[in-house]
Amino acid sequence: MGIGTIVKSIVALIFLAVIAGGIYYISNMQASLAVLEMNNKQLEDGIKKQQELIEQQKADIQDVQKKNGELAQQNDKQRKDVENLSSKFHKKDIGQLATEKPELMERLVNRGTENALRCLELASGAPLNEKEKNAKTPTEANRECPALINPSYSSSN
Amino acid sequence: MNARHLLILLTLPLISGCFSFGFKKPEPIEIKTKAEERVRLNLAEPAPLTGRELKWVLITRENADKVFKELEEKGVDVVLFGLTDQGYEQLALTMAELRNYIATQRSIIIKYKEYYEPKKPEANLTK
Repeated sequence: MGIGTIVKSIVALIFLAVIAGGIYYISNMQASLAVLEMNNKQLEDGIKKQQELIEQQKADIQDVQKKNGELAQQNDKQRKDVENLSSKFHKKDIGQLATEKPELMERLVNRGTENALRCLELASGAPLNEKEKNAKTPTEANRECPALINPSYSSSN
Repeated sequence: MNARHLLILLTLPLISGCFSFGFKKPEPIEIKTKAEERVRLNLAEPAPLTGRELKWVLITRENADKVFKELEEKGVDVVLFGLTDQGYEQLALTMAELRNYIATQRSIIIKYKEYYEPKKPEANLTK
């Protein structure tokens, strides 16, 4: 066996090793690719879930803003009810009226008290009665707290 | 073929990236998410107030005797708890503010409940 034959055998072995290594590498790469594809899908799903979460948070923020707005509107209406009552007292001297016409004033005060007590019931969650449900004006329903009787009323009416 | 060719052949796997000894296979990742809903508070709402009947009696110098006589005739204690007109105004305004406070607190509780415990169509488990 000459030196040339030995070198050729070595080269042939190297070639075989390179080809075997290549096959191993490609098959290994395919497996890795499959894993990476799976990982990619998992990450895409994760991103999708994150996006859904962001959308949900945006909707939550809008909901919070809406609820805050509604509450502020309700507070505003209720504050106007108190201001209206206060201005009623300022417009008329109820002490003088009571001195001049005690019976009339007694009726007015008792009616106002009845309305005010009904307002307390409504404020604590009592359902509206038929008269209050069907009332078209705040006067028909309850002069003391139109904002509680029907939220669409404006006390300034 | 000489030693130069052999060297080229040996370095070929290195530059082609096929030299994968120590190559680490990527591990599959796993994302686990588990959402657990908090137990609902489900506090019962307090029953609404029921206003008790309340009658005011107005007394002036002129009608005082008549009013006290009527009290005697009704068989109740002949005594009245009084307020001046200004006192009455203050009481009426305080009551109105108290009413608004109750209404606002109730609204806040309802809105919290709507936000944190929204109604579900299938959530009606109680019969």
